[in-house]
Amino acid sequence: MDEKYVSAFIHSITGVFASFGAGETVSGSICKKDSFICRYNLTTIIGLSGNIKGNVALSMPYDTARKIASVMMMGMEVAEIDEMSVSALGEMTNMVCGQAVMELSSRNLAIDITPPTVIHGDNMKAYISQVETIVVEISSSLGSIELNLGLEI
Amino acid sequence: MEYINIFNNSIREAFQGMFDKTITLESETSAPGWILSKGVAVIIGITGEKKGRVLLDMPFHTAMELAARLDPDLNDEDFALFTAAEFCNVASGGAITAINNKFGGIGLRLATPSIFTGTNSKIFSPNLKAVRMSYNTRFGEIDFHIALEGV
Repeated sequence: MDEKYVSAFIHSITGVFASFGAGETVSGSICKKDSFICRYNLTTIIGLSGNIKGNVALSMPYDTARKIASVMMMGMEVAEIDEMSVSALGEMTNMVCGQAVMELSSRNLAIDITPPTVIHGDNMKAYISQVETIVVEISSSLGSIELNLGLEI
Repeated sequence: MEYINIFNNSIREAFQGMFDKTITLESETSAPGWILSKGVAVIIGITGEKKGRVLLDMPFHTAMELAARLDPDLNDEDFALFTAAEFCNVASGGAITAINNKFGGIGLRLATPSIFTGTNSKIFSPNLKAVRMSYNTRFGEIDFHIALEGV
């Protein structure tokens, strides 16, 4: 997968987190997997269609999910993952994918995104593409988040 | 609910085509906001004039039995997951094609399937209301949750 696709999503996460006032994000190394064993309990996922088909999944621990939902809800305390906090996490994923798609559209790629879905549980295993999944660990003041890209280009 | 009838027809055709068995829609209800997965969940997003998603949910043993219909000698968990994903893809693809043909200009497209398996999995799609279509097959219970804006 061309680095520009991965960079677009890393840039968008950086931008979205900065807009929350979450400060700087630090991206770890990029690795490839056939499938991904969810290291974390909660995953948000958005599908892509058009010039690029595939799925983008953001995986995170509950603690990070609660903190992100809280900053998106103007600092409201989030004690548990309920419908309101999940809606906030879905919106965050929408913002990340929307900004990445905007960046890629400047390279003449027409991509549409699906509504977000949020899934959480224990011992999760996922396949988000029939091709390899690119995984990038991203650290921020809100905690760790794992970017998973399964794109068929 | 014309879209739902189209999905039902496509689901039955896909099941017959892939597994050489008939299935019948047992019930059609409003899906709850949170869906407690039976074990294997396949999610396919929909884009176009209306956005939405298809969620196929079934127990793991059902996915294994469906996979055995395709290859009785291959007792492989990943193959079972891919079988469930392919069934969802074929059923959704047929439905989307039929909807696009019937309602010109709607331009629906599918993302690729994503497959999740785990324990105590809960699934939620914000701002989407879904219809749950339940099928009771000889292989176990299969639910399709269809969420499409305006349905």
